[in-house]
Amino acid sequence: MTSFRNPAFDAQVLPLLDEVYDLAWQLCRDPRQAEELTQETFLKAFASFEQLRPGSAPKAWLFTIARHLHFNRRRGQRRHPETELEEAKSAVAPEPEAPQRERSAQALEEAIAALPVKLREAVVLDLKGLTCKESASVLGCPPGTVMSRLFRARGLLKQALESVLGSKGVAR
Amino acid sequence: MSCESEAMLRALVNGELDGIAFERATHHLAECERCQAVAERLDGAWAQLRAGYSGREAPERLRLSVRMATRRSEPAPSKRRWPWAVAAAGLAAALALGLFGFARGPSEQMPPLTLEQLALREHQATLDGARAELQVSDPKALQAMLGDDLSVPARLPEALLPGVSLKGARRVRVAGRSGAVLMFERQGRPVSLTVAPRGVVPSSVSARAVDFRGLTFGLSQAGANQVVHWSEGGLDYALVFERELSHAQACEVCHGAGTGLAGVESFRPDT
Repeated sequence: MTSFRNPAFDAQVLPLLDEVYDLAWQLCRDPRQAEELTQETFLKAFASFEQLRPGSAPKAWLFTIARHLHFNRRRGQRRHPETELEEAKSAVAPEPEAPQRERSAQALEEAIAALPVKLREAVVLDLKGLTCKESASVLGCPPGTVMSRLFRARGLLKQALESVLGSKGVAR
Repeated sequence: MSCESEAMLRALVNGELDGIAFERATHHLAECERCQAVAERLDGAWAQLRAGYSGREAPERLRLSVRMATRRSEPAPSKRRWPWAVAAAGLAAALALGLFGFARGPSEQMPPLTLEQLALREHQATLDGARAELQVSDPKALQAMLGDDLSVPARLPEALLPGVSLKGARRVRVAGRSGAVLMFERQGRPVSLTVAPRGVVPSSVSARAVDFRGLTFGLSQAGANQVVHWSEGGLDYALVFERELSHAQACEVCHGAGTGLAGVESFRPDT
């Protein structure tokens, strides 16, 4: 079948694949589900690309789509508890970490995973370079709430990673 | 609102504020880029953690799969600068085709492809190595992917039965509308399911009809393959599979968990 690419989509959206996959991983904590969520996110983005306003940030737009898909899917699973159980059974173990990953990066990863979901979302969007206002638009809450969650998350992460941070833990 | 003092911001990044003071400081920061910059400068620990965060790279198969899936089946519509000229060209083309068709006579016109013929052609294309444009193994994900293309989402299981695997799907154009071919394997044998908007292609009149649980299934054979077709909701379906598989075995590709569909062990139209 003949197919055609959309150059604007390829230039603005496809380069964000790693970013979306990483966000999907943080939301799903499972490599298979993260791949599916990423794929769904890009298909949805492709279908509604015309809705992306010129000049607006495609990253925040993609993250919003990914987050909606994830929570819609989770709501669907709750309506079908047998599916949730099956998915839990089939969930694979976390992927083995690459040996070169630094210990501190891995420790940060684990500490982020242990955060409550609302704090985790705020901190992951911050790590991905979104401004407070962009994060607020992704999360659908006021910027003040995002900042409050972010600082709570930072506090918990610093506590959890005290040994990694050493003397830099406290601002003087 | 007046800016926070540096001492207050230092207390915030050190986790020494709580209650109203914490909320006031964070809400101010959300609106004040200058104070945000000061807080970032003071928070060396967070800067260190942030620098250590690299994120995960998407697997290569996902990269390929996303690239394959984000294609149009038609070129992007161009902005028409002279719509009257396009309309005139279309009218001329239609007239030319009409005259040509008239000159050839009705008996020489190509008959429309039936749903079974379309499904058999796509099944053979799969056997000949036509690639799965959407390389997914989860039917639920596939259903979501196809949701935007098909006017009505295909009814797929959330989890496949043992012995059934999903190899992926291709989008196809059916009489100018979007359809899809889903590629399964049942006990290692290929089973394809062609899905098309209801009524856009005719069904073969020679097929044998069997009523089962409120639906009418058309059955036919073509060489080494069997075809079962039916209509449900807004879609037409045609399942193609080798004669070595029973109808129930082939139909089970869609009867996994989460569809609300009952088992099909009793679907034995040949007995």
